[in-house]
Amino acid sequence: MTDNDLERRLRAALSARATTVTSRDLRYEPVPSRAADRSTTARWWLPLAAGLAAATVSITAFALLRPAEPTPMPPASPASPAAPDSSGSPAAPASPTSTATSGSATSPARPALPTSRLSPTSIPERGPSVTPPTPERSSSTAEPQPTASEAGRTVTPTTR
Amino acid sequence: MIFVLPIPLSLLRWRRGASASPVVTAVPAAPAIDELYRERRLPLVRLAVLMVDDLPTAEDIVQDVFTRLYRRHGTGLGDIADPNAYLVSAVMNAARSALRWRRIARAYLPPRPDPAPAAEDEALLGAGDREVIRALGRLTTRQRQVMVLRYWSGFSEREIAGALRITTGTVKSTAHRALTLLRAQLGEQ
Repeated sequence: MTDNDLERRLRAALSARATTVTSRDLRYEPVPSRAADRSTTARWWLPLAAGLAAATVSITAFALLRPAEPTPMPPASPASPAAPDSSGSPAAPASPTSTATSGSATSPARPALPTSRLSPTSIPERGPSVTPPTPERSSSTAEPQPTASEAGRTVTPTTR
Repeated sequence: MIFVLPIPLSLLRWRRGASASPVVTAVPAAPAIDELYRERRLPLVRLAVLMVDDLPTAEDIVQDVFTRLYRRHGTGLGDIADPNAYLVSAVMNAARSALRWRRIARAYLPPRPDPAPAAEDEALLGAGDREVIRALGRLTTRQRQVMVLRYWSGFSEREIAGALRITTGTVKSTAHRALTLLRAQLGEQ
């Protein structure tokens, strides 16, 4: 095969292959200026809207699903051996009920407390410190509160 | 919940209205890129078909080339010396990228059976033409580019060198090697 034959054959084959593609075979495509305008400028708000939607969803979920606030607990007073009766809380280790049961079932690792402190006879001694202050004690203070006493006087006759 | 969506359209209309007076109703002249698109789309698609041998891929290539041309240079095309040569070079580069991507995909994907040629192609292309096209597909991408530009586009060696950004000597040697391979393949059959 000579060069002229090969080149002629090449030209004929390429032309025949190219003419198989006509304008009717092409799909519709918009003019590039319109297509580029539509793709770039018409959708610039999409990331902004997506960010706002995500922020709204996260804030709503946080507001709806956050746990309720726990009730405020007073700070526990330190357990001092000098004044064990001042706390008056039922969870104190010196309560008579707990000592009555723990006397028989004390753990070997925990030393037993002295019976003079844990005996039920100490209950009357705790009484005055837990009860509300009497009028004599309030009057014996350096600065009495007349508003509280007056309120107590005024409230009592009206309720009766 | 979201009131942002209607705002951009109105904002765009306001910006367009502010830039151009609404009283003027003269139809602006069609951009140069649109005219170029209407004139050169079909020849470029044919050129891409000769390279990739696949019409949908060729259409994608040409559309991407025009879109990139518009984004880079706008509608005027005043800063391009020869838009036709620019487009041919861009289509050739895109076709080369498509062929490279296809070769990589074939290495990792199971081979698919070749699609049967359409009846129109069977009628228009003779058996000898199909043999030549098949032999062209066995060449390298660079050899195929040189053959197509030389024997279908009618480019000179200098124009081929400018479009492919290679030297004229490379064009000559590549064409000679491609013709030798084609002669060997077509002569055996």
